[in-house]
Amino acid sequence: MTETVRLTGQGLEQLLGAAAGATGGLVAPVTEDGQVLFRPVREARRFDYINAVTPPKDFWFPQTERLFKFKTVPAVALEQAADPAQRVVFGVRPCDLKSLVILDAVMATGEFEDDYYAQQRSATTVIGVACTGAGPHCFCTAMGVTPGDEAGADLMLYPDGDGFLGRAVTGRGAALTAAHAGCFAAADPAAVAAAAAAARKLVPPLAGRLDVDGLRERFADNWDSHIWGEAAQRCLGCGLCTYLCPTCYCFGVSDEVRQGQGVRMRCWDSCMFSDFVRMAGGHNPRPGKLERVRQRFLHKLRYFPARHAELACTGCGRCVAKCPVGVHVPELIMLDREAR
Amino acid sequence: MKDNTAPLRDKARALLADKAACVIGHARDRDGLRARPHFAKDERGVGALILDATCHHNLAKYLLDYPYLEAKVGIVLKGCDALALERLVADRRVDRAKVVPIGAPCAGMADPVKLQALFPGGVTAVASGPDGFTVTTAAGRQPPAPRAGLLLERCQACHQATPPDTELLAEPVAAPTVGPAAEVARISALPPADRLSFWQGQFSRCIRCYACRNVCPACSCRECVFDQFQPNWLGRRTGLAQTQVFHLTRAFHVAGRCVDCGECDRVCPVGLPLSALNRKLLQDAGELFKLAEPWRPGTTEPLGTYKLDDPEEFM
Repeated sequence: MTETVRLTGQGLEQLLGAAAGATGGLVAPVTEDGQVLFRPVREARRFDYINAVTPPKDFWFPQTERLFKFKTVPAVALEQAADPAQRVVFGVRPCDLKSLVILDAVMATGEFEDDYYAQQRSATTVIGVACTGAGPHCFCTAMGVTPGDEAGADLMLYPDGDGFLGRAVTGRGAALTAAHAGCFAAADPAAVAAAAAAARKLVPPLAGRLDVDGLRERFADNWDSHIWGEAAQRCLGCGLCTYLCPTCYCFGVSDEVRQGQGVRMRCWDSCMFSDFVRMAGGHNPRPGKLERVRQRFLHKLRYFPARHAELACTGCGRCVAKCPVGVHVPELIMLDREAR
Repeated sequence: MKDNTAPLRDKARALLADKAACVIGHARDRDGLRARPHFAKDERGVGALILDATCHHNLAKYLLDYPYLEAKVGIVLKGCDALALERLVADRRVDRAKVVPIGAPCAGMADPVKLQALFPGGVTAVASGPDGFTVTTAAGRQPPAPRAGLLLERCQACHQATPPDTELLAEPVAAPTVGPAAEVARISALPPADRLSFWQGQFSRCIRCYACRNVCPACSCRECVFDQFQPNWLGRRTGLAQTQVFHLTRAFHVAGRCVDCGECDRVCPVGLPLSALNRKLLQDAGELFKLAEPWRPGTTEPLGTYKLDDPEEFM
């Protein structure tokens, strides 16, 4: 299972080229109109980026996923969606890797396994790449993740000169290195461990400003705090933070039916939308921005940890970078500290 | 915009003493660089107010959060924001009598992304004038920065620098002479197939978070068509077709009503040039119906009017 490898720049090109040629293809970060995005690509070019604007979540938990097609005329008949093709996602940063651990805890662990998610997961080989720098909005280490963590990756790579040192973390990762053995050279496990340790030492500046002592206890005890109103009055009520969040997983299921045939889909939904918990009779248990903002952040910092023993935030910083009005996880952590 | 922080705080103090419920303005974000909306309700809140060339947020739409107040609400309005207030008043969503506008003459805003690149350590105040920007950091006043290097793109096409008929915090500023919007001209000149693929390429990045709609002062329906469940016009399904329907429906809804404040561009997380779409429809409405661009109070709204001599031939 544990296999340490060295990958030259040329070896990486070969590996990704082969991945792009496979049935499900290759997903890698690209720059499009100045925006770094994970996109299906024919070939991947290595370039410097802190992280993509949008998380790679879409490739294991699609924003719109067809579950099945159906006919009601002449009789009810179902047609299952095709199984997802084998795919490689390259260039995932440790914060987004950790989001896989979090999503797996909800969707693919325990009594209830989500078949659709589990299929996407087992069809996807994730190649993680450790960070070499932190952006102004990154705060992973405050959330218990480091820029060198491998949890969630199948194959983890650590930039080393022109190439990478790496480690196959899972069976899928080992299968990848075995299938493309020509791209890899053997590496000294000690060298890989040293590269990983060096990457883990990187501390994003914003993380250093966050006081996370007793975070879970504090957020178990601030339901009535004025901080929710303070954050909510700025909130625009859009779904930007939830759709950019690598760990948000709320969805709705709906049918589109026309002339006796249709499709059942599940689509991301957002707890920030006013209709998210609106009941059939029109009652809305979270009628205002305050209730909705509180729900989102308590879900991340209180309810999820209570159930799964992990914070549902990996410190990727997308909400910090992109919320147009400054309502995000570090903001709430700081507001809470000041309110005490 | 000059640094108007001190006169704003005085004005806010006076309004709160006069039993205003709140003064909506800006405060410095915790990053020490950007501004963010701020709601001052007491002396501590007043002390956090700032007003300089980082305060680009159009605050007018927050007035929808105060529908049933007895007391008045003070709100900081730049020239562009003042049009947004008029838009909400014309749509009967805000009672003008409840609003105390605090006029902020503005010679242009600094782009927060460019600011971050130049001053990663943060700023304390940023002032703009016709000649450029003066940035003050913790280390003191910095050498003047040229206007072109820091100006927010939307401010290059400023329609109204000083709010009219409003008590002002500083001397009025004239809006720069505006040429035709270069981006609109560039896209319009493309052959139709290229124009389609340009917009499809843009729309393919949309995550349908609705930030553009939620920040837009011309989008103030009590229930948006895209939030309706029965009938479920669009739902949450994503895809190029759905995303096009969303953006084009919204563009037509604000056609001739848009105040061109550029907030849609600012809030979009994936950098869609949405204001180019809205500006194009403003230009079309302007040419077809001889209207001002952007919308001005009292003008006819082409898609809200019915006339037998409509210039559209099929009508």
